Amino acid sequence: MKRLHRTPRDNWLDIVVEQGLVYEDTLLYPGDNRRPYWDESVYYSFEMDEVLLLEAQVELLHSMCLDAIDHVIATERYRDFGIPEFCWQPIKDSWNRNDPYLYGRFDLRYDGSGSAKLLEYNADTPTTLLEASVIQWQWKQDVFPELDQWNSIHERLVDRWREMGASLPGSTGGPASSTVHFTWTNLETTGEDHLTTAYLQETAAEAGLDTIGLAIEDLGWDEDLQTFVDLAETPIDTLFKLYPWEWLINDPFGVNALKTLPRGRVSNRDLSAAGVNIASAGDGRNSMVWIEPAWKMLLSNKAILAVLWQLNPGHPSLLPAYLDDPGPLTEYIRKPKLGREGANVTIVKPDGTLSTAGEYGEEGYVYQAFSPLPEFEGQHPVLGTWVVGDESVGLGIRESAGLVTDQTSSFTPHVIDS
Amino acid sequence: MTNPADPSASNESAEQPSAEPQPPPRPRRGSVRTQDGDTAAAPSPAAVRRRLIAQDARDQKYAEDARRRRNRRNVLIGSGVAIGVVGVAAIVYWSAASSSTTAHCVGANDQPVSASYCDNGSHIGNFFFFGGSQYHYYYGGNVAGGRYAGGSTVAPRNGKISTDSGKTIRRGGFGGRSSSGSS
Repeated sequence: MKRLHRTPRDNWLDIVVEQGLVYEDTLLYPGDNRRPYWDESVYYSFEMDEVLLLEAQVELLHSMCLDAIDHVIATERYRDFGIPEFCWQPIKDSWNRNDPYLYGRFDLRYDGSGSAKLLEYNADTPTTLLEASVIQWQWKQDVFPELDQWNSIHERLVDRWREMGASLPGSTGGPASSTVHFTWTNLETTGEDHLTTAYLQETAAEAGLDTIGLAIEDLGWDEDLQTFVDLAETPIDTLFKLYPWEWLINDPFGVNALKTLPRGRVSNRDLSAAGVNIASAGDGRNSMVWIEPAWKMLLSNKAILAVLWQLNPGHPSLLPAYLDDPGPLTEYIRKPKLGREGANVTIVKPDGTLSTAGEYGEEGYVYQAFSPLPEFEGQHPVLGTWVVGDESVGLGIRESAGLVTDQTSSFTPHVIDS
Repeated sequence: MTNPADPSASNESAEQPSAEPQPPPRPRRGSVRTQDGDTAAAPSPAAVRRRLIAQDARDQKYAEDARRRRNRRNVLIGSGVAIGVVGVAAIVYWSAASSSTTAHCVGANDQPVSASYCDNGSHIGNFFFFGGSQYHYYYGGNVAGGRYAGGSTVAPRNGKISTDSGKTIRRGGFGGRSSSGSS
């Protein structure tokens, strides 16, 4: 893993904007030493062996996560996650039913040698997708057409929709007749959420699904049908939501959302094998498939880090982590269980503490051994490695000047050289 | 990981004249539609027809473009043109971002928050309960790279109840807008 330099394409801004990267800070240099969000003046170069090794570690981490969920559900440790009781049964059912899941992003610490370490798993509403899947690929095609890139995110997303499509409501065995609604929140005003959702919508359409996009604020609840409807009052069968479960369940419609989950505990894999789709397998109520599924509430919660460590103590891809108190740790980073974007993080070291602001943390904290991000020419990269279905499919790198990767980080592309 | 040098032979076969045995049909591409609260009332049949025609035209153009694509990874975009709905949505945000003078509204800890926070004045906080404890979000929005910066609900006050077409539909029960009006 090397950090290299290359003059940006002359019209790089026009190019990435045309490709959809228009989030507010794509181009902003607001006076201080901030960089543009998309920074192609630097890039990272990996060797193929390195990538293959990382890929294997990511898939192992993913399967450890699934085992951890199994454990949490079997032992009903929901309180450790700060999850309210009315969600327990729906989470358990959603897991036992094997509700379909699309994607996630592991954030890893990696310095070019040894094992990558899991920092966190964004399994419910991961973003930075378009830049990883599309923008950096186009950059590579333009400037290093002869090189490769760890990136089959797009193809795998399409494949995954195709796989899931066969078991979605409305399907007749193939994906063609299912309609999936895609929602984002208007709260996010830079467009990132909307564009991420729109991009995922494209990947589903490419897989043959009919798709409709609308803001989650526009969803309607039909009292008569006891179902969610879109703006044309069409009942929704399958809903993709780029909106975290932990917000959703606290919204006024949250209880309704849980009501629409299919009942029963039959695995949809069994059902799809038998040619039956999920929604028709319930008790006659209208039921909906939610993507990501309710059980991802556990994965997107940082308490999972402590559970992983407890179940796999000493694993080379994990950092020691503990719930609610630092345990034996003397240097640690304290993260709110439900925090985002590096908010409310405190780093405690013998020589002092460093905190970031924010308003998370009332639900409790996870204490993870402090392992400073590696430094490459003064910048600290975090590897965002993408999982689609159960497969490791790609990489996106964000760099920041400080030790916490937050809203001021920049995305830099990468290549595989040799 | 893909090999960019690997041309996909199957794309080329689609350009054979139709006297030859037909190539296998392209997999069906699903439709892509977007609804928005300002413009998408229940569409008239004419609008539906227009939309379908436009959709067809786009699908055809997509199929055209697809034939020209060579390498495996290129199922994505031809020559740097933004794809369908991503492009349409991007234009909206890009015009909004480039025409506005930035007046950053910040929260108590100088964390960037959306300007709507300031516009609405007295929203000291929107309090929620989770796992028996209380916390609140500041309004979403204005964050670098735009990932979730918090952002959350101006708790939708009362979703409106509308009864057209004989149904009772409430909206605005998710997310942050107080209400999207009637359906």
